[in-house]
Amino acid sequence: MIRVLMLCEGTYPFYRGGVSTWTHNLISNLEDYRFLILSVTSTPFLSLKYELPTNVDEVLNVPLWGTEIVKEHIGEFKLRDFLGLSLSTSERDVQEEFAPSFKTFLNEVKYGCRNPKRLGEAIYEMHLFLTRHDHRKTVRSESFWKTVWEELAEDKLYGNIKISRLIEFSRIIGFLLRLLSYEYPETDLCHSSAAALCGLPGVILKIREGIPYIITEHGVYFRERILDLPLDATLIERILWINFYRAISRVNHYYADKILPVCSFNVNWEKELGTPLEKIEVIYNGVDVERFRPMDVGGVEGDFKRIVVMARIDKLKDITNMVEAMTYVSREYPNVRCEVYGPIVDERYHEMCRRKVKEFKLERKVFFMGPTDKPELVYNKGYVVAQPSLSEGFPYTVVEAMACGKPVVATDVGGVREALGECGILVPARSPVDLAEGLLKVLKDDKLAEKLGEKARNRVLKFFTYEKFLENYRRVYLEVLSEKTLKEASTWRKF
Amino acid sequence: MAEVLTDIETLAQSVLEVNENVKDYLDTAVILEALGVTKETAKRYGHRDIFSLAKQVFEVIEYYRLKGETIGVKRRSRLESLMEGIKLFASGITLSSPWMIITLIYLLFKVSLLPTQVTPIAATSINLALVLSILFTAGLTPAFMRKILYFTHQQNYSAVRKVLTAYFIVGGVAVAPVSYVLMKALNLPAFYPDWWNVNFILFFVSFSLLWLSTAPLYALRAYGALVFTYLSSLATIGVIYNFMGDPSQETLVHLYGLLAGSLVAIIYLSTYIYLRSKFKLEEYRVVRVRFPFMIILGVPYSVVNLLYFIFIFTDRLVVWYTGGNPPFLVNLQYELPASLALIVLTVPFGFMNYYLHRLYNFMVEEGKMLRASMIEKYRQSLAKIYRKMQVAISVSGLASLAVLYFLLHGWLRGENEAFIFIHLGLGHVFLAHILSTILLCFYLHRPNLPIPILTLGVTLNLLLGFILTRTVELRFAAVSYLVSSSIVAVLAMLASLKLIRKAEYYYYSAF
Repeated sequence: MIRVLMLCEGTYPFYRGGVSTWTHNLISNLEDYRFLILSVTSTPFLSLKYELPTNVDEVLNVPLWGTEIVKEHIGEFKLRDFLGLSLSTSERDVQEEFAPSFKTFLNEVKYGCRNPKRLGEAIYEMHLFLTRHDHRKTVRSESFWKTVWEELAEDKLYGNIKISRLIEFSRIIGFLLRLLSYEYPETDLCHSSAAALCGLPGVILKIREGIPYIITEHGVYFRERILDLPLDATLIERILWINFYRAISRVNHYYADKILPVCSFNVNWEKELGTPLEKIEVIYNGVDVERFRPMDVGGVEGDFKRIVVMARIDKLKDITNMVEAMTYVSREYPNVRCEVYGPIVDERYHEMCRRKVKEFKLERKVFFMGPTDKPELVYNKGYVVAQPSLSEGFPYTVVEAMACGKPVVATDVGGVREALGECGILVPARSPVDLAEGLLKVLKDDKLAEKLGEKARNRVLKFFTYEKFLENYRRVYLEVLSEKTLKEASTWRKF
Repeated sequence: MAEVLTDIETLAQSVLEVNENVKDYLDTAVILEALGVTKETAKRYGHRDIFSLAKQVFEVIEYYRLKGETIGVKRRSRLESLMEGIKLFASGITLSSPWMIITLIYLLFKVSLLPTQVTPIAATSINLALVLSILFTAGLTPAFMRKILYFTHQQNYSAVRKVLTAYFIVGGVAVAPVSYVLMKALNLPAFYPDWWNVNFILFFVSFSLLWLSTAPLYALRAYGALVFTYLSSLATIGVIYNFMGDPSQETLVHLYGLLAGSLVAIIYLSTYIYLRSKFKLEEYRVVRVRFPFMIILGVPYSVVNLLYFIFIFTDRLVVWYTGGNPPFLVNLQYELPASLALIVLTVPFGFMNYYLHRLYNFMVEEGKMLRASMIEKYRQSLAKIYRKMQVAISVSGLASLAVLYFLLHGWLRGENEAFIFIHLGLGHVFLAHILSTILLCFYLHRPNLPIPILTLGVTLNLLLGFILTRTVELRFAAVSYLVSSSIVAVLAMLASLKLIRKAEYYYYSAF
C-alpha cells in the first residue's frame, strides 16, 4: 500500500481549525493509502484533538520549543543517545561540516532565495549534519554565531539591524532548525499542507530519494507570515523576516511536483513568488453534504435572530471587526445575538475582544461560546453566518455554512469570493460598517436570506462536494507517483 | 487624474498607519488586502491587479518615507531607578542571609547555632552537620532549580508543579539516609560517643530541610517567604538547641530531636504547598518530564555549587581535621572570628546583585538601541558596568570589613582571633568577586567555565592550608584562604572579561 507523509504545521492533529479539518477529511477518506503524520508544533505537551483514522500509522510531533533537548519528548530517545550525539559534536565539527552549508542557507535567506536549488541543497546538508550531531551544541557553538555575524551583521544592509533583534532572529533560526534534526519515516509520497517550514522534510526527501512532493496551499504561507510580523519591527527586521519566509516558500515551491492552492486567489501570489504556472492546479475544498445540510434545530425564535461566527479567536480572524459591526447591527435590529464558536489561540487577543464587547456594552449581544464538535448544528441554529476574517484560503466555515443552506456575509479576502459566488454578501475586510450593512440586509429580509441559502446549498452540491475533492487528490497522487515510476524506469533503461 | 493621485496618497498613508516599515510592493499588497482593497478596487485605480496597484502605492511610500528608525527603550525616572536599585541591593543581601541570620541570632539571642560556648566535640557534631548539609543540598538543588526556572519561563506551570513535587520528595526522602550514611562514615571506628551521632543527625536533617526549602524560594525570588522560612527554621532549631542544653548530659535528646525534626518538616511541607499554589494547572495536561535529561544538564551547575561551598569551608575543614581520634574536632578559637567574618559578605553581595542585574538588563536593553555594526560600543558599555561592579564589590567589601572590625573587635579574644577575622574577611571580599563570575556564567548558561578555576582554588586552599597549619600555626588557614581566594578571584575576573568581550555571542547562546 502506498505510504504518504503528511506534513503539517501548527494544525492537525493537535489543533483544531480549517486546515486540520481538511487534513482529517482527506486522510479519513483516502482509505486506500497509509498515512504518516509529521506535525510541527510549538510544544511537545499536546494531546490529539482528533480521533486518528485507522489508516494513520504514525504521528511524529516535532516541537520547535518546549524541551531543552531535541527528541527529549520521544520515549525511544534515551539518555545514551543524547550523550552519544553530544560527545560526537565538537566546535571543529560544526565549523567544518555545518558552518559552510549554514552560511549558504543564510546567504539565500537574506536575499529571499535567489537560487532555490542552492538553498535546498544547503538545507539537506544541514539535515545530514544535525541527524548525526547534537542540535543544542551546534546552534550554541561559536561557529554558528560567527556565521550569522559574517552573513548578517557584516552585511551592508543587515548591519543596521539592532543587536538584540539579531540575537532573537538567530535564536529563532536555531529553534527552527530542530526540524532538521529528525530522521524522517520512509514514504512514497510527501504532502505538505503549506509551503512552510513543515514542507522542508518534503524538500529533503525529494533531494535524497526523489520522493514526489506536493503542497496544498490554504492561505499563502508567505502572505500570512507577513501579516503576523510584529508591528514594532523596524524596516530592516521586516526585510530580514520577509526574505526568510519568501525563501522558505520558494524552496518549497521549487522542489514541489505540484502546488495545489485551494482557490484561484492564491494562484496570484504563487505566480508573484515566481512559481511556474504548469505546477499549479486549484483543488477546492469539499464538504460532507450529508452532514452539513439544512436541519431544523430550532434556532429561530419569533423575531429573534442569531448570527453565527465560526472562527478561532485569532488576529487573522478579525473578531474585533465583528464586535464593532454588532454595535451597528444591534442598534438597527435589537433582536439579535452573535455567537462566536472557536478555540482561543491568542489569549491576549481574546482579552482585547472581551474588552471591546464591554466597551461597546454588547455583553448581551456577543457571546464567545468556545469550540464545538457539532458545527452542523451550530450553523443550522444561526439565521445568518458571518465571516469577518482578514485573511483566508478557501474557508471551510463558509462552504459548510453554505451547505447548511445558510446565507453568508463574509469579507472579500482570499478565496471567499470564489466560494460564495453570487450566493452570499461580500464586504471589504476591516470595515465594520460594511459588515453590519451586509448583515442587516439579510436580517431584515427573510426572503433574501432564504434565496441566498438555497442558492448556496446548490452551489456546494455542484462544486464543493467530498467526492469531487477526493477524486482530484486521488488523481494528483497517482499522477506524481506514476511520474516517479516513469522516471525510475527510464533511468533503469539507461543502464 | 488629480483625484486618483490623492487616492493613491491616501492609500499610502493608510498602509503606513498599519505599518510604517513596509518593505516592498508585496508587503504593501498584503496590507492593502487587509485594508479591504480588492482586485476590483485596483481596477478602479486603473491597475490590472492588486500587485500593480501595490507597486504604485509603494513608490509613493518610498518618496515620503522618512529616514531613521524610532525603536528605543523608555528611560526610567530617577526615582524609579533608585527604587529598583534599592530592591536589587536588598535582594542581593538575601544571598548572604544564611550567614547573616545565623550570626545575628548568635549575637543577639545567644542561641548558639555557632556553638563556640559548648565543648569542641559537641560543636563538631553541629558544625559538621551544618557544612555537610550545605554541601549535600548544594549538589542536589541546581538540576531541579534550573528546570523549574526553564518551565516557569515557558509558562508551563503543570511541568513546574511536577518538578517541584519531585524535588521536595527526593529532598525529603534523601535527607535521612544521607545523614545516616554520613554519620556512619564519620564515626566508623566509633570515634565519637552515641549522643554525638544523634546530635549530628538532628542538625543535619534540620539544616538540610532548611536549605532545601530556601533553594526554590531563592530561585523564584519569593523573598518574603524566604526570610520567613529562615527565621522560623532557625528559631526552631535554636530554641530546641537551648532546651536541649548540654547534649552529652541530656537524656531527652531523642525527644527534642523528634520535635525539632517535626517542626522543620512542617516548614518544609508548608514551603512546598505555598510554592505549588503559586503555579496553577495550565492547558498542558500531558506533561512528561524526563528526569535523566534534567539531571544530566544540571550536573555542571551542581559541580560548581559544590566546589563553591567546599571552597568556602576548606579552611575550617583543614583546621578541624586532626588525622587522629576523633578525625574532626572544631577549634573554638578559629570558629568565632571565622563565623563573624562571614558577615563581611553582606554588603558586597548587595552591590554585586545590583550590578549583575544592571549588566543583564543592559545586555538586553542596549542591544535594542545599538545596531550590529556598533558592536564594539555594546561590548565596551558592558565592560564598563562590569568594571564598576568589581570596584563596588572591592570598596564596599573593604569598608564593610573595616566597619565590622571596629564594631566587633570587642568580641574577638586576642590577636589570634583578630588575625583570623581580618584575613578571612579580606578573603570574603574576593569571594564576592568569585561569586559574581559564577552567577554571570549561570545567567549565560555556561556552568562549565568556572569549574576548572574553582577546582584549582579548592586544591590550592587545601594544600596550602595543610602546609601552613601544620608547619606554621593553625590560624594560618585564614592566610591560605586569602591567598587562594585572591588567585581564584583574579582568574574568575579574567574569565568574566572573556565573556564580556564576546557578550553578544554568549548572550545569544544563553538558552
